[in-house]
Amino acid sequence: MTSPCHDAGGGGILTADATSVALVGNPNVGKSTLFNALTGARQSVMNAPGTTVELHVGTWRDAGLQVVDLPGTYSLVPRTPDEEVVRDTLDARPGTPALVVVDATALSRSLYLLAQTGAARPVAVAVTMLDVARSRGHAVDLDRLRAILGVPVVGVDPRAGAGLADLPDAVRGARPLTGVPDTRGLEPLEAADRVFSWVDDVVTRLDPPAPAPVSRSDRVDRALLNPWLGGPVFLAAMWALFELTTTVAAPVMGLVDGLVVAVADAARAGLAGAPSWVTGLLVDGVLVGVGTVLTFLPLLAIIYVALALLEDSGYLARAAVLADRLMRVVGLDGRAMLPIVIGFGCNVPAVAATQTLPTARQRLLTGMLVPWTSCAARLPVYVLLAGAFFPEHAGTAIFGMYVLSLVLVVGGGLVLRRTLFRDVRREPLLIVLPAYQRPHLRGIARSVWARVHSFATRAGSIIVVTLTLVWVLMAVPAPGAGADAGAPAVEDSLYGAVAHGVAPAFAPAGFDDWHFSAALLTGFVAKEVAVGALAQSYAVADDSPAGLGEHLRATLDASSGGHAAAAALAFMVFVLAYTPCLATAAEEWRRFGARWTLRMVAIQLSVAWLVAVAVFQVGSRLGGAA
Amino acid sequence: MHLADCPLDTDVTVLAVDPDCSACLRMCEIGLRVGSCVRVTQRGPAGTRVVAVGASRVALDAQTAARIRVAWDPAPVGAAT
Repeated sequence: MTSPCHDAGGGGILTADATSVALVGNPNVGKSTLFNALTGARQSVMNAPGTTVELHVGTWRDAGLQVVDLPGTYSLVPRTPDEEVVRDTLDARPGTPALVVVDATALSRSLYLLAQTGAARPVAVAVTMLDVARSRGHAVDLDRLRAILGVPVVGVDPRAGAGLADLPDAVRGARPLTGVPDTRGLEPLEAADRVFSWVDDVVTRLDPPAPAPVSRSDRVDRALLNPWLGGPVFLAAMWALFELTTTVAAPVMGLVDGLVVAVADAARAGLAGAPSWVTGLLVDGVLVGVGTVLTFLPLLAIIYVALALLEDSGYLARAAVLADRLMRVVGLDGRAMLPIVIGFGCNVPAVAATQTLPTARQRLLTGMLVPWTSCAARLPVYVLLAGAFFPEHAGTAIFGMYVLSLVLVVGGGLVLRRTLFRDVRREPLLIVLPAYQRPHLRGIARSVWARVHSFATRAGSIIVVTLTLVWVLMAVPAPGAGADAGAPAVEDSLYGAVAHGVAPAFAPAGFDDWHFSAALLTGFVAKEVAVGALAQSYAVADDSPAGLGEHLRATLDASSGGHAAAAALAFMVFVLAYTPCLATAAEEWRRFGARWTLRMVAIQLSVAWLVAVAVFQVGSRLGGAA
Repeated sequence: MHLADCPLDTDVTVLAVDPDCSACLRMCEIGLRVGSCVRVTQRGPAGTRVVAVGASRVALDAQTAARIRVAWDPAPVGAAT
C-alpha cells in the first residue's frame, strides 16, 4: 500500500492530534522493529512532502492510533534531509504525542533526543535493548527512570513482543518533560551543552554506569573489523550477495517464468474464439506485464531477506566501516557498496537496496549510479557481439565492459557530486555500531512482505501499463504499411517506425540501423530480450549465433562505413550505459519519484550516447574495421 | 594525546574536540564530548577506531579520531562533567 505525497507542510503526515503518534528515536534502536510489531501488515510507505525521504505510516489497532515511523535521528538540529523531515514533521504538529524509543545501551544519547522532543510536546518512552545493556553491566532501573522523567516509561522487546501491551496506556498518559532547560535562541553547541547538563543529571541520578566490560560484540569485532581479516570476510559477504542475485535467484525466477508461460498458453487456448487483437492485448500485453512483475518478486524477496539479515544481525554497520574508505572516493557512505555489488547481479534489487543508506540524498545518488553496474542481463548482448566481432578476444572485450562499468560508477559519482549533489557533504566516518544480535525471523518476514507488496503494486503497475503499450505499438501497422490480416512484421509496425525514426541519432556511433535501434528499444523493456529482438528482426533463431553474427556484421559494415568492430563496441558500450530496464526505472520511480526518474533516464541516455560516439570515433580512426 | 594514539582497552577522558570539525556537534550528540570517559576497543582498517562510549560502540575514521584530545583517566565510562 502506498500513497502519494501529502500537503506542503510536514503536518500532512501526522493527522489529528488525538489520533496519531510519532515514533521518534536514534538510528538502530529497534524503532522500525517496534513499528512493525505495533502495526503488523497494516502499514503503508509514503514520501515526506517535497522530498524523497520515505515515511512508514501504520494503524496501531490496540491503541486506536495512526503511527508515523519517522527516520532515525540523533538530534532535532538536522544535518541531513531525513533529519529535517523529523524536525519539520514534529514542528508542524506540536500537540501530537511522540513515543520516543530509548536505547538502554546508549542512554545519554537517547535522553538527549528525548529532551529535545519532549520539551514542548507530550512524550512517552519505550526503552529497548534492556537485555543487551544488562549483559554489558549497564542494567537500567525503569521505575527510577520513570520517577526522574515524570513521563510514562515502558520497557519493551519489540522482537519478542514483550511490553507492547503496556504501550497504549503509556501513550494515552503522555505529557511534556519538566525541568528540561530552555534552549530557545541559543547557538546549537551551547544549546547542546545545556541539554547534556540535564542528561548528565538524569544519568547520575540513575546510577552512573560501571566501566563497560569487553562484550561478546567486542570479541566478534576483534575478528570482523580486524585490518587483515575484516576485508576478506566483507568480500565473502558481498560475493554471497552477488550469488544470491544470480545463482540462487535464477532457478526460482525461471520457475515463475515457466508458470507464467503455462498460464499464458492456457489463456490463449481459452480465448481461442476471441478476436486475435483481444487475445494479443490480454495475453501478450497485460499477462506478459504481470508475468514480468511476478518474475522479479522472488528475486526481490531474497535480497530483502538478505539485507534484513545483515541489518538485524548488526553486520551492515560493520560493512559500512570496512567499505568506507573505498566509497569515500565518490563521497558515499560505506553502505553504498551493497547496492553497487548487487547491481552486478540485477539492478532492480540494487535500487531497492539503497534503503540501507542513512540519508535520502545518499540513497538518491547511489540510485543514480546503480544503473551503470553491468547486470547479468546485459551479458548475452556482450557475448553475442563479442563473439561475432572479436572472436579471438571475446573474453577481453567482455571483461572490458565490466571495467568500463566500474569507471562509469566512479566517474559518474565524482561528476554528480560536483553538479547535482554538491550538498552531499563528505562526512567523517562516525557510526554507532549496534550489538550483534540473532535476527528475528518474524519481524523480517513482516518487513519483507511490506516491501515486496509495495514493489508489486507501485512499480508493478508502471511495468504492466508500459508493456501493454509496447504490445499496442507492435500490433498496430505503421501508416503506409500493408494492411494484411494478423500482426504486422516488426519493421512494418508502429514500433518499427519508431525504430526507423530514432536510428539516425546513432549515426555518429556507427550503428544507425533500425535492427539495432529496435533492439535498444526492446532492451529498454528488458535487456535479456534484446538478443531475441535482434534475431527476430532478422527473422533468424536466436539460438543460432553464427547466422545472426553474419547478419550483424553485414549491417554494421554498411552503417559504419567499414568499421563494423568499432560500431559493435560502441553498441556494447551503449547497452552498458543506457537505462537498464523498465523494472529498474519503475523501482526508481517508486523510490525517487517521476521527476528524478526522468532525469536519470535522460542522463543515462546522454552518457550512453556520448561514450558510444567516443568509442566509435576513436575506434574507427584506430583502424577498427572488421 | 589524541584518541587515534590511544592503546586498546584503556579508559581515557575526552579533554577537547577540535571545534573546526564539521561533525563537532554530532560527536557531542552521540556521546563524544568533553568530560566523557571512553575506551578504544578495536583498531580497524585504515586507522579506523571503535570506541566504547558508555555501553555503546562508535566507529570513527583516523582523521576524526585525531581531532579528539584525551587524557588517561581511571574514571568510570560514561561519567561526564
